Amino acid sequence: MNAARAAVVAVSGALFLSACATYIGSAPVAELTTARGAITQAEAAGAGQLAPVELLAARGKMVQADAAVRAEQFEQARRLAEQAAADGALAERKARAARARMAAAELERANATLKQEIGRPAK
Amino acid sequence: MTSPRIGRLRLALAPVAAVFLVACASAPVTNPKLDDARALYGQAAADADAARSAPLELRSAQEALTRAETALKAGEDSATVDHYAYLARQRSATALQAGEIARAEQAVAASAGERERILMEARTREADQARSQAERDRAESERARMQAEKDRAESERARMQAQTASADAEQARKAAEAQLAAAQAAQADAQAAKAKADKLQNQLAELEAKQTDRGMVLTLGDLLFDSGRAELKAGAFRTLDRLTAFMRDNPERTLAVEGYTDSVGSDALNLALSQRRADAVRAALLERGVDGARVTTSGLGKASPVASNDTAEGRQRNRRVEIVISGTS
Repeated sequence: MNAARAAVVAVSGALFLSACATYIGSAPVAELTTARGAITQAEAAGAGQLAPVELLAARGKMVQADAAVRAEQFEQARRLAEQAAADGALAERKARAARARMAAAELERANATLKQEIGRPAK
Repeated sequence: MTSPRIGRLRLALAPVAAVFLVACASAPVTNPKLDDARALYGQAAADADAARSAPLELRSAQEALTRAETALKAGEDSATVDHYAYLARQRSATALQAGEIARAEQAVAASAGERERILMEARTREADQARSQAERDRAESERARMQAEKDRAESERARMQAQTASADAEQARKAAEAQLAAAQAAQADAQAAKAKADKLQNQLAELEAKQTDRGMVLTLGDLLFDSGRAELKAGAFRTLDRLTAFMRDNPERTLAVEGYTDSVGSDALNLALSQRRADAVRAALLERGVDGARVTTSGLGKASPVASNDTAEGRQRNRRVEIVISGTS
């Protein structure tokens, strides 16, 4: 009985450990690179003005990811990098969407003006 | 296994395992962040534009969602579930933004098409305007042509009118000539009338008629009758012939034949004698063709003497027949 209890406890502990165990390995280089690229692209797309919340979130997580790498908390760094990449991608698309909408609105206005000018009776 | 170390470990692990077991047993079926991510993913997956323009994002969102759900079911720690839920949420949002971009780009393309359409319409309208302008020009020249035609007709009409006017003038000239002729005829008539009047005057002069208050008076003297008798002598015939001709020429005239005597003898004899002498003159005129209705007679005796009855010469002048010519010419 005592042995059985010990076995149950042991199995349970093993399960717990496997579930909660921190990933022990190298820094998530690929994820970090992807995140940095996403942020760069977002900045290039004008996210600084058009999607500041998402861009700031991405940058903040990037800083945290770098800190996690330095602390050798690689699993934490990986997650932060993944989130930063997702935030950066969203910031970029959001900025592009805003610019595309502005372009569409601008063209629509231009068309209205054109119509008005052309529609004016000649002579 | 039963060493105190193991026993301590067992004691230490027991609450951990208990916590784990509790975590597993009461693992929440739902996680608000996961629900949120699932909802957003559903929205993105239903967005045709998002699905078309961001298939990779959508698939990675789905993978993150699946991992989050698996982690939740497996009772993994909430940080893991939250992490994948977050990734699923952000990737779904990214896919939705991609859909937004696609729609905005479609709007841009539509605007470009609209711009082409507007310009084409304007060109068409310009062409239409040019065509209608040409039509107006043509209509204008046609109108000018019609006007010229009308002017020509007008001048032709004026020419015809001038001809008519000249014909009218000719007619007027003829009318004037006719008037002149009429005036000449009237003058001739007047001359004829004057000649007639002159003739009347001559006739009256020949009859030795005298103008008196009673009209023209012709006196047949005593010498034309035998004394005390009523028969006319031949010496009166010439005067009666002239008087007859006068009466024929002047049919409107009437004659009043009046016999007078001197104061010698009774009135009865004198009146009877004067009446007979007047009657004799009338009879002589009727013999010559004068209408009896135009000749009246009266015997007035010694009345209205023209000279004194004291002398033979005066008495002779009082024995007379006067013929009063009446009626106007």
